[in-house]
Amino acid sequence: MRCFALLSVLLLLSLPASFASAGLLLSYESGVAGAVGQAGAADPTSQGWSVNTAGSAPDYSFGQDSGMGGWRITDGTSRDLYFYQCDLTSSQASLMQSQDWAANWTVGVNADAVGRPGIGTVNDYYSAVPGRQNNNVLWIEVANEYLYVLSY
Amino acid sequence: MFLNDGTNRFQITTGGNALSQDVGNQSPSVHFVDYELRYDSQSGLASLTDSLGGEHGVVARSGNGATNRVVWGASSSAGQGSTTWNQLAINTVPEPSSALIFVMASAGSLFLRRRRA
Repeated sequence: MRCFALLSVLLLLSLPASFASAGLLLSYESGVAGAVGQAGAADPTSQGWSVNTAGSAPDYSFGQDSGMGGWRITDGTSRDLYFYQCDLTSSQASLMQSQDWAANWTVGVNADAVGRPGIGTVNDYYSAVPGRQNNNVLWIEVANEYLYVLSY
Repeated sequence: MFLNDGTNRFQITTGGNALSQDVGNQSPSVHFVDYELRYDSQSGLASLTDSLGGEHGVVARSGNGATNRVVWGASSSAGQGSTTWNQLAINTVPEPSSALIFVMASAGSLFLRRRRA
């Protein structure tokens, strides 16, 4: 019986090693509660994300603190884009091939997509022209394995 | 990939599957929805759920992937969109190891032996 108890203790002590590969791969945390009036969302570039701003209309394609509980990404053009990207390391990609993983995200769609100094916000996206909301995506890609494009 | 007719329905699509959920349309408020995409390495399939109770089932792949990356935002130069992101995280999910199973079996055996003693 003592052998069983000793073995159990030893195996319990070894459990952390067996879970060593589990954990966070990458993340963005706005740092604010998801609610109207919550300003101060963190810039994703401060958390290791690179921004891609290919385009010529920065007034209409931008990222900013929404003041509504998160980081707002807007592309108000039909020619530009604006997204954040994190390249996976080879070890991260390997883990995402060999292990189970979960992607969790919290997002809302904006009605007043475009706002500029002196002009204010323009409520011309969700309510007035919902068809303009067709360029929002979460994209998860591992080479030679899978590509998931969740868009809305 | 579309938002439908403006009746407060949010549709997220993967391949040809429309996945509808509600969000607010009361400017300047924004209603957040939590999503979870869970990948099973054994089956090679990923399933989507959300905080509104949506069980969207298996998500279709868009391909096999050409590089290693995660992207969020407005990724196409041909469309328009505006979203507010509160958080995003990708975690590996630990599986019960054989060690854990053995420990549980040992503990059970120990418990039974003590009860018989």
